[in-house]
Amino acid sequence: VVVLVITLVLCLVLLCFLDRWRRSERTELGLMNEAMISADDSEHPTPTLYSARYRLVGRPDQLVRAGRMLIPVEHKPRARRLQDSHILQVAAQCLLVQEVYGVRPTYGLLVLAGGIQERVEFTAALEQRLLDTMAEMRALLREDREPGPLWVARKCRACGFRETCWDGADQRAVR
Amino acid sequence: MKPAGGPYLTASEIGAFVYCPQAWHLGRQNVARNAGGARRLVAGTVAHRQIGARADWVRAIELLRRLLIVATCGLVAIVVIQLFSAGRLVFPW
Repeated sequence: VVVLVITLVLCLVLLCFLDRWRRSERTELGLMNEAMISADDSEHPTPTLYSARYRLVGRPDQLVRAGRMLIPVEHKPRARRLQDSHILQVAAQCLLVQEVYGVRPTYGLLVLAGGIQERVEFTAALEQRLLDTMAEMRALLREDREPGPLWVARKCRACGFRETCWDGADQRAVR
Repeated sequence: MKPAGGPYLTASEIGAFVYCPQAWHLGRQNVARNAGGARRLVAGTVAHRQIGARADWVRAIELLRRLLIVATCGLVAIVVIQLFSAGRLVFPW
């Protein structure tokens, strides 16, 4: 009995340790109570989602389950704050999840630097904005038109295409 | 809703377009990035791989935790049965 009780105490200590470890690892992943279904670049990779109707394709960094819904998760480990581009990307993934799994996620998740979780509500207004953006992109492709560079200091200074856009040229437009 | 025509778009390029339409266009044309841009691209890929590895860790920890919970419950049951059978504890009824 003594040996059994000692083993039991050891199991409980190990359980407490595992629980804390699990919580810290989940925090790093930006997860709270959601159940992880799949994760990109892992042993259970996220499938690539296709929608023929919207001619859209994407693969969320993770898919988690919250109730009946599958929620797409996008990681931006270098971003300190939420940006419009992140919101539209998550919206596209929400639309794909709805198309492929048949249940509309009411939100998507963004995990920023330091595991900070941001919730992006997938509203009808956001969906419309996404469709408008896709229409704008397709119009540019159809007409084989170049959008043209527009100097935005904080973006352009760090951009990998800086020399292509601004080599020897003046900063033509400022916003 | 009317089906969309034209080429397939990816969720990530929608984000790239919203961030900077011109950078999206250049990326689609396979224009080479400068060294810093290429480095950031590689760093992003590495960071995502680390996230995938961390997800595997979390799964492994959760599996181990579940097994340990089952084992602990089993041990509790064995200890209680042992105590009762040794007469150190008596049933209240």
